[in-house]
Amino acid sequence: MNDGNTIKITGASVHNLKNIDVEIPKGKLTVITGVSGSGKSSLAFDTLYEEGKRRYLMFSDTAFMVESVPTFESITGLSPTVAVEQRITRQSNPRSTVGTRTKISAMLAVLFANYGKRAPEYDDGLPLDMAMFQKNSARGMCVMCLGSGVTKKLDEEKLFANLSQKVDDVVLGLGKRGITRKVTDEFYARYNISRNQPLSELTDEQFNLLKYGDGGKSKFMGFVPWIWQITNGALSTSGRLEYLLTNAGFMQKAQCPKCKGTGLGETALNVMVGGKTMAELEAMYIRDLRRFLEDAALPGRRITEEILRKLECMDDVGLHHLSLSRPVPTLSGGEIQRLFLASYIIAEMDSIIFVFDEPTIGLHEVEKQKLLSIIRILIERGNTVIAVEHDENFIKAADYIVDLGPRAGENGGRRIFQGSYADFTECENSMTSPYLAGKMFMPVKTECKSIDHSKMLVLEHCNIHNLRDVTAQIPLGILVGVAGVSGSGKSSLISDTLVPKLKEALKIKPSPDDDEAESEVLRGGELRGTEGDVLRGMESEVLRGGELRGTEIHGAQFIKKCVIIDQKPIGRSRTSCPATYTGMFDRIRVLFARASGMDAGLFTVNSKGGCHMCKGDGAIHYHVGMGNFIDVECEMCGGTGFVEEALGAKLDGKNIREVLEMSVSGAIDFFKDKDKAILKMLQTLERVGMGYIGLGQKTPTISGGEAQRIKLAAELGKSGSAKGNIYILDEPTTGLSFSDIARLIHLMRELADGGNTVIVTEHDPSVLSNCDYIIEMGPGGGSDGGYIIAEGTPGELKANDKSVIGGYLK
Amino acid sequence: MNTDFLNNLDEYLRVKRYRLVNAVLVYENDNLVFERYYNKVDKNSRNQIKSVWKSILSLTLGVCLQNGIINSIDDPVCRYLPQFAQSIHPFHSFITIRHLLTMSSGIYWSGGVHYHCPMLEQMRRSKDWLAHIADTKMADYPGTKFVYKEWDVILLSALIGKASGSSAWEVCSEYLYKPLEIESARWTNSGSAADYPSWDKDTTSDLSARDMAKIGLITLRGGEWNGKQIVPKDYLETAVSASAASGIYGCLFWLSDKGYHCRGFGGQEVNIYPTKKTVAVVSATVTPLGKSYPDICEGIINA
Repeated sequence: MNDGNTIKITGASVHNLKNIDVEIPKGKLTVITGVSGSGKSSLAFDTLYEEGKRRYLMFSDTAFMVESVPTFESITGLSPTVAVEQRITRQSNPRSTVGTRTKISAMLAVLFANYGKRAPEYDDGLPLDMAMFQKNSARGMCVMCLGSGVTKKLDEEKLFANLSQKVDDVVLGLGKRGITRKVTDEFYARYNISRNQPLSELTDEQFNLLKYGDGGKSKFMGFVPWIWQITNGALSTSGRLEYLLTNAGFMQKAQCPKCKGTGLGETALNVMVGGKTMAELEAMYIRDLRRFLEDAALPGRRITEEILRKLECMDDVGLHHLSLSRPVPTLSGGEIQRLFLASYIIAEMDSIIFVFDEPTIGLHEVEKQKLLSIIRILIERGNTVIAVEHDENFIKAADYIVDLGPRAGENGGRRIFQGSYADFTECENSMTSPYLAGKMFMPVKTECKSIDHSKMLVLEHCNIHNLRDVTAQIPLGILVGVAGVSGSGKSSLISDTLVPKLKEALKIKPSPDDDEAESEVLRGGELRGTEGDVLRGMESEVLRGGELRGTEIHGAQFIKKCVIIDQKPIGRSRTSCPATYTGMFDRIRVLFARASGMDAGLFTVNSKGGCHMCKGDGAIHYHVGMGNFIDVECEMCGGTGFVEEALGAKLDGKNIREVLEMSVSGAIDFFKDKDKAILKMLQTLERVGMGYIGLGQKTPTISGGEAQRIKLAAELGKSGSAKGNIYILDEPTTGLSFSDIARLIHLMRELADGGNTVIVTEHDPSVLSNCDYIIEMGPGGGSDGGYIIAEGTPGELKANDKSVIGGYLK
Repeated sequence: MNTDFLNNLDEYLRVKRYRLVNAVLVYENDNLVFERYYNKVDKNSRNQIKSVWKSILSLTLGVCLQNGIINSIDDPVCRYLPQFAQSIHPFHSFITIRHLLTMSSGIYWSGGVHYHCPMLEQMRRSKDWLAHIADTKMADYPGTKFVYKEWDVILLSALIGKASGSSAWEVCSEYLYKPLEIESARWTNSGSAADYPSWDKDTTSDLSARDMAKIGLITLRGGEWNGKQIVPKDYLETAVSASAASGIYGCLFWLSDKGYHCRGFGGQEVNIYPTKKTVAVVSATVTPLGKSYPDICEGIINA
């Protein structure tokens, strides 16, 4: 029997877990450690959290859930469980913002509706109501952008500027495909236009018809209306066409001219509290908003105090640098996790089990201490905290440690240790404990590569977001670290200034996603993509337009290509997986086609091979209320996602499904003598520590850190001898254990030694210690940051009093 | 006509608890064959007609064609309304009067729960209604998608006003209500030259049940009234036929396999059954819940 002081799990067997028994004390901080892929998340999230949620929901009658396969024998001692996973960012509503998620925007709306002062020329005497200050309400949103603050612009002149291009090649040649082909055929025949004619040969009338259609006489509406219809529909705010047009420079997003980017209607824009509009308050950094609201002269004290309490909590968890208007999908995994943490602290509950996924991600060493003290508060209130974590200081602070391993995937999933930190340092079999015990060390570089001052990339007058007219000198051909507390301006300098400026200078596509999008298969002529993708890129893109104008870049001539290796999901569709992203899948399909004599299209769920019922998902999703879904295995394909014929074909005794279920390491043997290119890619994936990942593992189950390493592998695999490239990595240590970080440092050095520049924004002292040069932003976050406070080699930073990170470097 | 059903109508309404129904009228072959009033309403009482007004606006447009105020329903809207001639959106130049009549202008609309029209609130507070609508996002290429909405009738009303140099009310009053001897107050006018009376508690468009029936009767008579062509016959044919955008909606008339219908929020109905030469009218008190009573006229027509 369970005495109630522990959670006892017996026979946990989900994913790679090897039928393990684990005991976790309640009312304590427990950290689950292990290398990436060892089964930490399977235990914390897929076993503990899923079961805790299921029991709670069933008991409270809020929803029902069905478990298809039991993933454990028994769990006792469970309380209501809440989890904050990093991958939740991908599921969130693209329209939700920090303000809507925390309900602070709603409270501000109440404040404005009741105490707002109206500009006299807009005062119609009618009472105000809360919905008028909410951009997600049809009563409050700006009608031009429907609350998004962003509208699109099509550069018609540029689109048709090249008169020597053939009719067929207009608008990137997209009119000659799929359904559009049929309607354009009819249209061209009617107006005597030939597909192979250059535009210069068309009569003025024909050219006009091609652009603007014939007002509904034909099914084809003309290219300009066609583009607007597909990209500008109220509900289809995204998609492939828009993506392609934007990349080709034909379409831009711009601040909505009606609401000036605020997303709010006319009424809301002319009501003020304390001399500021709702939009102005939402645009402030949380810390500044706190200062503003603390001004006692404001009306509505009771509401403002409630708002202040929430803001204080957010400040405490290290979110002071965000604004309420910030879209949730643009937050990093660490930020969203802390946003949830803040809301739980505000709720002041006890006896809850909290499960966190690397809560220290994105936090500076200074901020980690603060986070730990907040987690301590949760525990003192009687809650249980279980965290999957790699951070050394966090592990040291734990009351109890569970270590899984010893390695990843098939070679992991066992319980190596459970007990106190002191005992853990004695543990012999763990891959983690030797680093903690000081028996193994991170590689520390002894000498830095020298800087060639004649080859520097220089950014002048950077002013985007909180940057204060920064001039940054980035040495080339070495490993450059960018450090600084959250919100100090690291991303503003690199992602929002360097990348777009470099892109402009190089006129190249900066993202490896492009290749993937090109090979993406269109299903039934429908243009797919998720709204989140577009919105994610939206905020920074819109802001760039104005704030980048004065910024100059020098030295771009030394760079061939700019490659961004970020944590965004690989591929833009649900069915993207490591195999499709790295290009292996195309070759695998060809191998199957050759072996079976059937069409290669049969071996992908995105084309002929997809099960007709579940569209290749393998499961049917049912919404059971409260944002919860249950997935039921698709009856038609038995959960494989493929049609039967596709599964009949075998390659060396395995069908396509079985091949996709292989892990990278497992597939190396299988493809050894079959295809060199596949083998090379698999080996590269293993080199970046992704040996455990499944070839066909779907995007939603791949963490941000994993996605980043897959991108790194795809890059390393395709450009073995690349030189003169610039690689940009944003917090690549996310989700990595000590041994994996050691491996990553090695890979980054390899790239730099090969004559490339690697720029890495990072908090991890061991990675920064291995850089040749560090640029440190600060001193604080948000309005307290925006300067370069120190720069130089790690050795120089250690000696620099102004540097904060210097004291933590190895 | 189902005589048994009509004979038992009082009992039927009692059992169904249709306490808000005020009038039920049936015309067959131009003759008033059934007339019943409830809740202290009589043949002279005027009741809210809500969106039945939209069908009246459709006839008003027909009147414009008859009198040369407008030449063609395929005229672009931007020719009449300057707010749509400013290239705010590339689709604006493609919107025609026909698209307004068939609810397929393509302008974004959100009807809200029980069609309480949250988007009207902002429009009402704006200085220029038409400019506000012109600013509203285009959701679809004009003529391709039917979305029942208020924008299109507001624009149509403003357009008739512009074309006639007066207002939609003046045109309707002079060329439709006067010859048909329909009694109504002057429709509410917004600051933007759009007469728009069919929302909230506005009572200016109220009609008696007998006058409502006349809207149906004139369509049955092919647009003729007392020997005079009021609305062109071919326009009426278009108005009660499916459009390119919808099989259930013509030009501000709902369509069914039995005939065509004017319908207003809260159970206002004028049902026209051309094969049976029948017009059936129901009028009821409006409540926010938006009750409707389609079973009454179904009972009447199903012999």
